[in-house]
Amino acid sequence: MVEPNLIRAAQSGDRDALITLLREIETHVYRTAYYILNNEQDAMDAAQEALIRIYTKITSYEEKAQFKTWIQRIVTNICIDKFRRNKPTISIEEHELVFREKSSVEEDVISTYVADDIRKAIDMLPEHHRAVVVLRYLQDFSYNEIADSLDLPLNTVKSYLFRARQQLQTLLHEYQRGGVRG
Amino acid sequence: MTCQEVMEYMQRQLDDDLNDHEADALTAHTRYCSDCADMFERLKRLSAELDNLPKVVPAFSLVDAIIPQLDLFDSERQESGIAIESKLFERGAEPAGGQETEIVPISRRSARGREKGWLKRISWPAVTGVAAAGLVAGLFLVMFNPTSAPDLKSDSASMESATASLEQKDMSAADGAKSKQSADEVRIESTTEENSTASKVQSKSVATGQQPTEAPSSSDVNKKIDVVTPYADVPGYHIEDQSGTSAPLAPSDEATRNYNSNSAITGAGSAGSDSADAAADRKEVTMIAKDQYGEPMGITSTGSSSSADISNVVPSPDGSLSAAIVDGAVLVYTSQEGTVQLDSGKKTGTISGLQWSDDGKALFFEVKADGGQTTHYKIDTQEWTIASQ
Repeated sequence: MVEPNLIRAAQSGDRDALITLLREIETHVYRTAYYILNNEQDAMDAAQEALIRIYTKITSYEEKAQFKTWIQRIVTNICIDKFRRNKPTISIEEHELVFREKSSVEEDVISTYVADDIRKAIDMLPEHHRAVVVLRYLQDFSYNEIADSLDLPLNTVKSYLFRARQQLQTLLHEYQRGGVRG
Repeated sequence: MTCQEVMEYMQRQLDDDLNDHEADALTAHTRYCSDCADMFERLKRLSAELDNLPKVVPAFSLVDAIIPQLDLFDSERQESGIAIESKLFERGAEPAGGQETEIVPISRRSARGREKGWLKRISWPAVTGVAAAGLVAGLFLVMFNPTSAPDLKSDSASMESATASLEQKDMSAADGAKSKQSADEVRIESTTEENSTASKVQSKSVATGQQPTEAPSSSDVNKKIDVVTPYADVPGYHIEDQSGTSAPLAPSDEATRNYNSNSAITGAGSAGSDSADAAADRKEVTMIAKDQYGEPMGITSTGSSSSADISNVVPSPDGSLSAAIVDGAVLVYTSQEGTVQLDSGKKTGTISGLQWSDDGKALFFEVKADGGQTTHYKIDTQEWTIASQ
């Protein structure tokens, strides 16, 4: 995804290379933040913080790790910190939102509503389970890459992912039986 | 194969993690176990939906948005590099306890021997922290309400020294931030002098930054006391310090140093300096020290105080200003804060006859020289000029 030569140039002090590199990864960084934090504004803040940290710490990246797991580690750490701080206020609002949208559902918005349901269900997962799901599905990471990014043992990654999917499946199944989806 | 085991196979199948043999076993099970078949269907559907989650993109370029912060980081990093190379920036660990007003002593001489260690010692997060503290100090300067300043005075010496310590830290922090922003060379030097007569330590700190052009600077190196902009009109900066010297007048011997400046952040008042080159940029402030009853009892000039004789205190008709003969010179100062507004300079001879005009706009006095001739002087408190008549 990012050219090794570009990374090396950025590390050697080439500022233009570093900026180019940041532009290449900013969407990936933002996407992870968006699905972990489930909030556009928070995601913008977290992603910017992550990009700044990458800019300032680029020299500490070592090639023995994959670059993409290195940046995902930075952004997930920031998000999990943020998530811990924000959780008490956010959870209430989010549940109100779920309730409102359920009562005003219309047939022609069902397709977008499916994604919304999943987003809400993801939001109910514990932080590390959520991060595992996001890296698996939004970044297309393998078990090993997820383990590297989150600094978790491989078996823990699998167990988090499996449990998360099972829980999501249960939640969405309940939504369906509640008449929201066909 | 139990349904529990099959569940794991199903999960792994979603991630393409099954070999052919395992995949066959899974298919064999779901063919006759409808519960597992249903579950597998739902999981596959969920996984497909997760795959299809909208690939969101930021509403605007995040990199463009952070460029200013990146520039700031670069210039700070560059600054630090320059400081290291020029070997002029030396900063000691500041006292954490806040009980003493002194800054850990670092003489320039000993600093040279430790330059190599300095790079290692510096904590880069601390540097940014110092910059942040500088901003806070700047805000403080802007927001600070000078009229409440006298209330800060306390009879408790420990309280004061703690306050002074804090504010002094803020000041050096402000200097640090300023130096980064203005990309100037910075030299912070701290010296500590042991007071010979008392065990207390008097602190002197010299913080010299190249001041921005709009900052007032004293060009007259030899002039000990500068005229200060009237206190109430400018953002004020108070440092209350235990003078700790031989002033014999009161137990709560407090001296108030008042740091004033027209420009909020550049108000780095500096204390008694050992280096003449530093003096060119700095602005000295002199205060009349008062005891707890508000009676003048000493004079303090930027860090060093003296127990000079103060006599013939004459308040102006409206009471806002006072004039006094101090150590052979006439000083005019604000009655409330004690900020010296004008210093006549030392006169050879005996000063007498301090007299305010009725409207308080002028102060007259006379100096009788040893030879016998008398010179009359007039101080204009509007223009802050002094003229002999």
